[in-house]
Amino acid sequence: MTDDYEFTIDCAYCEDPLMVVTGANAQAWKRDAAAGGHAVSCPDCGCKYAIIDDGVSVEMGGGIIASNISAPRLDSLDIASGSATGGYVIVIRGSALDVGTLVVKFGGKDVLNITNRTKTAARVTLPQGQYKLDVAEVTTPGFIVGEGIYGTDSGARGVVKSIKPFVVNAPTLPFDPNEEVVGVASGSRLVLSGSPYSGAVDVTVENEHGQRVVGGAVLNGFTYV
Amino acid sequence: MSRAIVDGQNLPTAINNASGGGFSGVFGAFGGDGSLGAVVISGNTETFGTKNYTTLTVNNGIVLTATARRLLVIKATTSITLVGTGSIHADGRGLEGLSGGADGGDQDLVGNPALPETAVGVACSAGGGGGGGGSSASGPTSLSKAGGVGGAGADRSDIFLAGGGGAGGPGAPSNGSMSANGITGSIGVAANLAPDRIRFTDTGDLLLWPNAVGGAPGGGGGGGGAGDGAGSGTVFGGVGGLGTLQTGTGTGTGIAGGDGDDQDGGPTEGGGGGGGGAGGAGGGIILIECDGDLTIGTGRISADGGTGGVGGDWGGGSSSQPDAGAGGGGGGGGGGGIVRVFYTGTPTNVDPAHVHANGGIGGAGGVGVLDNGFTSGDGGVGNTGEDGFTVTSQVVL
Repeated sequence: MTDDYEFTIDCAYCEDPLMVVTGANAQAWKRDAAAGGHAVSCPDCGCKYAIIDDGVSVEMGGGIIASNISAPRLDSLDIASGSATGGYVIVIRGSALDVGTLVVKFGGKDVLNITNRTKTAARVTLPQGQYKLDVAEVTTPGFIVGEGIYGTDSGARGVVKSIKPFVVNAPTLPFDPNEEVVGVASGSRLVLSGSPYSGAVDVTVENEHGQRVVGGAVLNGFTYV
Repeated sequence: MSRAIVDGQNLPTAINNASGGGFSGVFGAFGGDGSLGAVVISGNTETFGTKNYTTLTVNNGIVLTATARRLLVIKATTSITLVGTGSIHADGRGLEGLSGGADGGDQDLVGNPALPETAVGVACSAGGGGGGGGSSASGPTSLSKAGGVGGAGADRSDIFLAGGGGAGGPGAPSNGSMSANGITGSIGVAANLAPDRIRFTDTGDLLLWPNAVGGAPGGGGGGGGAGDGAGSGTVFGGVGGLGTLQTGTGTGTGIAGGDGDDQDGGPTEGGGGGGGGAGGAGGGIILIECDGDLTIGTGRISADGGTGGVGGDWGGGSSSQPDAGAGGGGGGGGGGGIVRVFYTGTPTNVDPAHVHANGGIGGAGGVGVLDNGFTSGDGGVGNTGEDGFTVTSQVVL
């Protein structure tokens, strides 16, 4: 058993050294990795690495490697607003966007496509948008999730996504202030407030390693118009 | 101040006279075998189990943390150095609080009652915050609901817990003709605190304690009471805070209770009560053996309980209504865990200011509102958790 094994773990994004090991026993590190080992995070960008067995025997020069287990981080979008019809492409920027299976959501809906992934950027095709409507009063309760609705003044149409809050998917037009909205199937009715809707949605990124609490979402980062 | 672990014993003598002729008989070679080599950590690192280093250096601003609910044993054959604020901690790595209470909503937009009108906000499992009260604003009668009770910190007879968690703070009452009180959280329970499990004997060691997990979580804060809703709108209480398993560099702070909600924003609704904050997680367990110098800069070696979560605020109902919602109570602080530090060389800053297992402080209560001469109060502050156990000693081999 020799004690001349050494390695360094650097952040793949910042390139800063995170752990430096010298005078170690390679087999001991393999055993440690098998038992759960160490997980190391970059203090600058938050990316995370697990120390795992490289699968090569010590006799063949093997040891351990750092596996990138970073959840992606989202920092910015190149376009901040767009039509609620969706279907167009924007660029998201952040870090660890190249790790695992990337899932990008606008207002909780998956984007239609993800291409050109790199460590720090990806191109995404936006889904149809949604509006969160501000309700002044429910005059006839009984709205149903999934039913169509329409505005009696604007003629805008959409599909009820949730009741609390009252969110409408795939709106065809903006709704008017103070207008009455009718449920097609239920016949339910409500009156919108004087500032009836916000098209602002959260944008999130995640992969099989999770979603970052900080830097994982751009709150109200995109606005459907 | 953490409690002394061995009352009335000469600790070094007890350790050195342990069965098998000293440390080698009970613990194996003091300081371990150094098989993981000289390690310099410049990235925040989470680990568990027994680690055998020759030297361990934790650089300034970096933390080496124990995985939640797992024992961390650090052994070094030569030295351990914490540079600047570099630290080793198991803060909030004991038991965590569990689910928070559901919101105390009364009716949704489709008009279906979410809860009976006389129900309180839903109580919750260990350590979570109680749900905030809602209001039957559009029901046949106008009755506000009380906030829910916060969960107890822990009630386990099958595991060893060090410090008990603090009680959650009370949810505040909502003041008005039809409003309801909040209900306090419950204290964390320090179960199985048997003296024979916290001593060094000739057959036992901390490692041999059955099912030791460190400190208990604090109790969840109670949910705030709801304001009266005389109008046709809908008022929802806030969701109770959720206790979560602590990871990364976190220190086990309970999740804040949700704010109450005035869903419709109409002119005649009172606001819902805020949810209670979750109790802080208990501290974990760290055991250190250093066969050489042990140097702590301005950092720490600790297993403190987590801070209780902040109670949720009132729900922002109409300013013209007398019965506004009240704030949820803050979660109780988590109980302290266990820290044991043995070394043979020169200690630097190996003292209670730098080595501790303190109980976590309680979370602040949520904010109520003073409106039209009626005060719906702020939620109460959660109580501090009980301290855990520490022992530090220079060992003569």
